[in-house]
Amino acid sequence: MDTTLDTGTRVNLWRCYLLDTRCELLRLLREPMYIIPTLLFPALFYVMFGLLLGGRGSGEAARYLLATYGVFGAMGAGLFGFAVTLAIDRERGFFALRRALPAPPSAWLVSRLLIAMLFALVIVLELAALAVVFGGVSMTAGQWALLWTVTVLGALPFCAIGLLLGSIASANAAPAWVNLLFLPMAFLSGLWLPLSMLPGVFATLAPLWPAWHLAQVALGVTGQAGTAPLWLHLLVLTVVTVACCVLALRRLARAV
Amino acid sequence: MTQTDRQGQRRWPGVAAVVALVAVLGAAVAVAVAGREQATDSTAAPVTEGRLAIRNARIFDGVDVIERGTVLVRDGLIEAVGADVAVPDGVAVVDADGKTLLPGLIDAHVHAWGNAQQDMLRFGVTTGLDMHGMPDRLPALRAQRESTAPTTQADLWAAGYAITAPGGHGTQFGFPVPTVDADTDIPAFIAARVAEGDDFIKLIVEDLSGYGGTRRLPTLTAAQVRAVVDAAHAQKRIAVAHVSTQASARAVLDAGIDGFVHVTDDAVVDDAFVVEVARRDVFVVPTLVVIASVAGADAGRQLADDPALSPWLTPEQRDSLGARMSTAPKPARFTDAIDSVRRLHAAGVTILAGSDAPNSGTAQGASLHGELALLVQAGLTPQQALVAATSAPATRFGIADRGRIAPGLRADLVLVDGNPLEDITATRRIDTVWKNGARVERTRSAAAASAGTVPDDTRISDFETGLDARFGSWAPTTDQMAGGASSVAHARIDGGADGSAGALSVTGEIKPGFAFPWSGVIFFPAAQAMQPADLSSRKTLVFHVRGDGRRYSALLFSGASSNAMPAVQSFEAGSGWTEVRLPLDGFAGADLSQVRGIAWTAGQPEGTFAFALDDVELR
Repeated sequence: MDTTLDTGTRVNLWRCYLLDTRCELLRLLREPMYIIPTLLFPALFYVMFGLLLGGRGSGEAARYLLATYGVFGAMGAGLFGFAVTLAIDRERGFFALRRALPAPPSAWLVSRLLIAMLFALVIVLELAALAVVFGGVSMTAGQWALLWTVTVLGALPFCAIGLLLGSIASANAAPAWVNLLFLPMAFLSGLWLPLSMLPGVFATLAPLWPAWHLAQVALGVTGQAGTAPLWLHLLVLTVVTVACCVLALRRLARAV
Repeated sequence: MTQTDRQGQRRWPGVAAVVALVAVLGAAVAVAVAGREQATDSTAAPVTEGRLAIRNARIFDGVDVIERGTVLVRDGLIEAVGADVAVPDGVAVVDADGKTLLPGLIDAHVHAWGNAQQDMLRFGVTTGLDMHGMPDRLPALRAQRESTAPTTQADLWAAGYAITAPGGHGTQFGFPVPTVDADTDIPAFIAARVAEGDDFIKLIVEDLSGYGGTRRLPTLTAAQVRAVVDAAHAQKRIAVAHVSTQASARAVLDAGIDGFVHVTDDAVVDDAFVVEVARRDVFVVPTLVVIASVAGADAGRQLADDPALSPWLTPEQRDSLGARMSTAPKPARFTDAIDSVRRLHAAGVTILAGSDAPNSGTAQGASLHGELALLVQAGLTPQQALVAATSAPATRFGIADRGRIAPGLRADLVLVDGNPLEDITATRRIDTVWKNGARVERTRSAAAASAGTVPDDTRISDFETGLDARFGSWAPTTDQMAGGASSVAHARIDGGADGSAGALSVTGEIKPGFAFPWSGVIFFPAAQAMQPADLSSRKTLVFHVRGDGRRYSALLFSGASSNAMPAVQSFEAGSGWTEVRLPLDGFAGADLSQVRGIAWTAGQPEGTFAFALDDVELR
């Protein structure tokens, strides 16, 4: 990012980022329609399917869904956090305003990235607490740390997809677009139940969904991954992130 | 620079991004699918040999005999069989000169739990037909038998819950069984059983009237039997029946039953009955080995002493073969049963080989070889006896992928020394067993029951959300399995020790009917009931209890045999929650390296009891 601004004095870039993040957080906290589903649904689903209906006592279901609902949460935080607010900001002409402000242009992006990762972290901590206390899941400290890291960083590709959606869709259509992508992708990626329980075609198509790749990485941490190599998942997630960012930023550069 | 150039320059990052996306997702699908196929290939390929040729064998293919021939196996299936099959290069060859190759044997009457499937396979029984048990494992059994991966277990087809009356035969085994009474909607009831995954429907028609005592059990009426059979047929399932008297067998026969899973043994079957069974083409699984045990004969012990079988028996199997259903000799029961089979067979009735293992006097796998010999004693030729344990049960139970040695069928094979077509006891001299085309490791050490390991977690259950356990499982246990009448109900309740969310409530009644009555709950530490688990690293059994002030017993079942008496320590359950700590070395004589179950039970005096458990730990 080009952040050299002629502001006369050196401004601490991180301070700008943090200020921006704080404002953005405030904005979201006043928007319960976003914050409640994003932060509570993964935990709620996990309690229902992982703990109450999960396999008796084996702990397999509790562990599998711990990984996949974390991915589900990171996906929601990334997609909703970016697509909807971006679409709204675009329509309101907020970017034109920002360009007139003495603030680094990158702050808008960085603050939202930080918030999406923060939300993903809150979600995985909720899930971890539930899994340990009620699901009898026990993992080594290293495994926990790795799972959280994977999930938190895993929000990034979905931020990029959200960015792309938000740069295309109108403010009214954005939530619909996100939901259209979000729920089917979660299901088709095996986030709610293992794909082995569905007809074979779903497993064949699974590599098309970025969420499946992230879920496979997370399941690798809990020791329940499939057979595809780790490099493949990381490659796909990286390419998706970069490609969506490129496409979105080009649109934004033109559109705003 | 022209206008189009500039546009092209501006456009390329976007185009590149789209191309990269499409390319990487396409590649991901290709790589993942290829990886998955490779993975399934590597699991489907037998560990020992993907391809195999068995040469110079006498082959009994389930129906006919090829005096000297070759069988080719590929990827778990039979590829070719015949006298002049060429062996391709680079295929592992087994020279079977002087030996006889048989299809994997099918035991048409078993009750499989614990190590049953391993035990069967060790004796060349590659498939069993389970006649009564909990249905929750049926999907797993189906998946298991559809796999062609190498395995250490025989496959099962199963009846799920047998159909019986409230309090009837079949309800005494310590697991709850849904029953049929006067108000039952039988078509819906059978549909529910089929939905659970029953492969066939088994009815129990048994009031004990054929056993000379005064005790009578409730059983299904003739009308209920007819309705069950009709409902089974409507659900495209065959119906088979447990009977022990000719009178009950006749009623069941008129209802349109497909097969009997015992031969009646209260008298020799009469001509009219034989004619009717033959006319209706109903098959019979005589289970002569268990009738011998009921008759007080020690056929089981003789089988255990056979040097061809003896080295492969586990201590429990040996105990079980040495036991008898009845010690009072009633030789007529057995000779009548043999004569009945002789008459049925002579009339052309299809006879199937089944053992009813693991009842007293029998053992999984080994007893089928005993049954084959008794069928020959009852007039079948050795070849007909082998048909009764291979192609005939497969045909009658609609099992299409096994029972014969034929191209495309599953490579479940048994190679035996000698010629069982002349001497049926040659089936016991097993040289090699192949399951799904892979050689089964039949080491004698495999016959020593190996205790499973359990997770390091000290906690078993806290009953916060349900009856689940960190490892193992909970089940009710009463003296009904020993012929008693005590009852029990167990459930998770709200409110546990130390203000926790839940506990396990155990309520019931001790009733007369067994010399040492008991009733309560049992925790099985291994994956299956009464399977041994190694708990030798643990020191103390810790749990919280609350109750009616009775004295209760903690029983620890352990050791090489699951029939061994448990070690006991007692504790009191008062009105408030208290923590009980029982040192495991206080269970006198227990073998902690092979713990099969831990039970919390009430005993004498008779009457109702109630207690609750919480936070059960093995520290």
